[in-house]
Amino acid sequence: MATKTTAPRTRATRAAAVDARYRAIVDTAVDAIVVIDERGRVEAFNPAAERLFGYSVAEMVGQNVNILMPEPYHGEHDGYLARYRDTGERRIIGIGREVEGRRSDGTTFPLELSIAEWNDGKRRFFTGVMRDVTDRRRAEELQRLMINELNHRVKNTLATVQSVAGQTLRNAETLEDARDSLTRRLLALSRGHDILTAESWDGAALADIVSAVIAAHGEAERFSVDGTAIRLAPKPALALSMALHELMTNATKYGALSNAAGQVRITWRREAGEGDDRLKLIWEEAHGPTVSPPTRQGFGTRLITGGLARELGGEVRLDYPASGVVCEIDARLGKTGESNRFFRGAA
Amino acid sequence: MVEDELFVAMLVEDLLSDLGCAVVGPAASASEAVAAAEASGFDLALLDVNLGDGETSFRAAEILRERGVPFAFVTGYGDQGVRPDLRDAPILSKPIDPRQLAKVIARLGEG
Repeated sequence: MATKTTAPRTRATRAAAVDARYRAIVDTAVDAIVVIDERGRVEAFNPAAERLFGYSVAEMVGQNVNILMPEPYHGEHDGYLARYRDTGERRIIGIGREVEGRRSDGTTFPLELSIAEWNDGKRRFFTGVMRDVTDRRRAEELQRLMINELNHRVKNTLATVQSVAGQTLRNAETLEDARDSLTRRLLALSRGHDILTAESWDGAALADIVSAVIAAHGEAERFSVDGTAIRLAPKPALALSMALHELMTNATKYGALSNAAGQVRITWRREAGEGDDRLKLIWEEAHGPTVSPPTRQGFGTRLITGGLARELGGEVRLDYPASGVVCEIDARLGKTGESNRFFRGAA
Repeated sequence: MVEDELFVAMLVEDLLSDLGCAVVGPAASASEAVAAAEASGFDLALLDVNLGDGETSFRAAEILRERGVPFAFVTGYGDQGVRPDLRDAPILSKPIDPRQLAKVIARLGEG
């Protein structure tokens, strides 16, 4: 007698233990888990599903699962189930795919869904495991945009290299001269990019640009630098960085940095104008050898007096008095704190 | 010429000069491009598509089309970078192939 009653009890206890184990998994799962019968009525709805869809388990049990779906799935789901019952044709079951979900407030979202089929010996059930993939979709979209943007930047950079190389070769007197100039210019471009990358391409502080160019040259004791805090937009920052490199190269070859005593003064200030503030930057060489104006316009001169002026939205003068090269930049800053194409607000 | 990248503008200027063209510009923003497109004093236009900060040269292209002035696009995005209704204009990619540019200029000049 005793053995007869113990056996079923043990079986029942085991079944209860298994049930408790699965309940713990389902209740603590991060993914939403929904069980439906073969007519689409909800049998179980775990806490993650409550959070995901905004319905309580009490609201959902007995409901048609299609209220969790936007159209056209909402209207077609009963038909899918009927077809599966009749023909065994699978659309999702055992496969898994991305579908759209619908929350209790009517909003829809992308959902990754996998479905398992099972039966308890009498009836057939389907268990759906679901996960909101909004963030993943957004990340994928962002990645696509970034790859496009990267491609665009690479192409533009290659065109920039094509430009610098072409101009260098056009102006070079010897092949060695060309090789040397081109290498230096590419290094200068690279430094300009470094400064911008450090600031996530949001622009750069004028002082940082100046100190990077001086650091690349070395001999910091030959420079005197003084200026207020001003932020340049990325493109003008790169142009100024390249222009300063050209001035530096010229000074090293022919100007104040070509002898032992020469000095370079780089100063800038913000000047209040009528409505707009202006940036005045001056590069002045002194104590170098006697200067005479160049006989032809090279890449540097073209960049400084043409391109830089345009990139800064102002004027740039390059003079060659006998005492030393002077480059004067006069650019429109706009109103204090306001950003524009040339300058970034809030220095 | 519409081009917002300084060095690319210098490149296009050099390549066009090699082809015997005199260059007007560059216009470096959408508003400058529109103003340039409405002005006279040029025979054909090269338009960089992306002018930074989300601006494009498409409005300028529409004006040129209305005026019957031939133009070509220059872009780092490829054909996909050009608005579908404007893709019948020649599209040059960056970096620029001087031979392709010469062909496009010759074609625009005939049109």
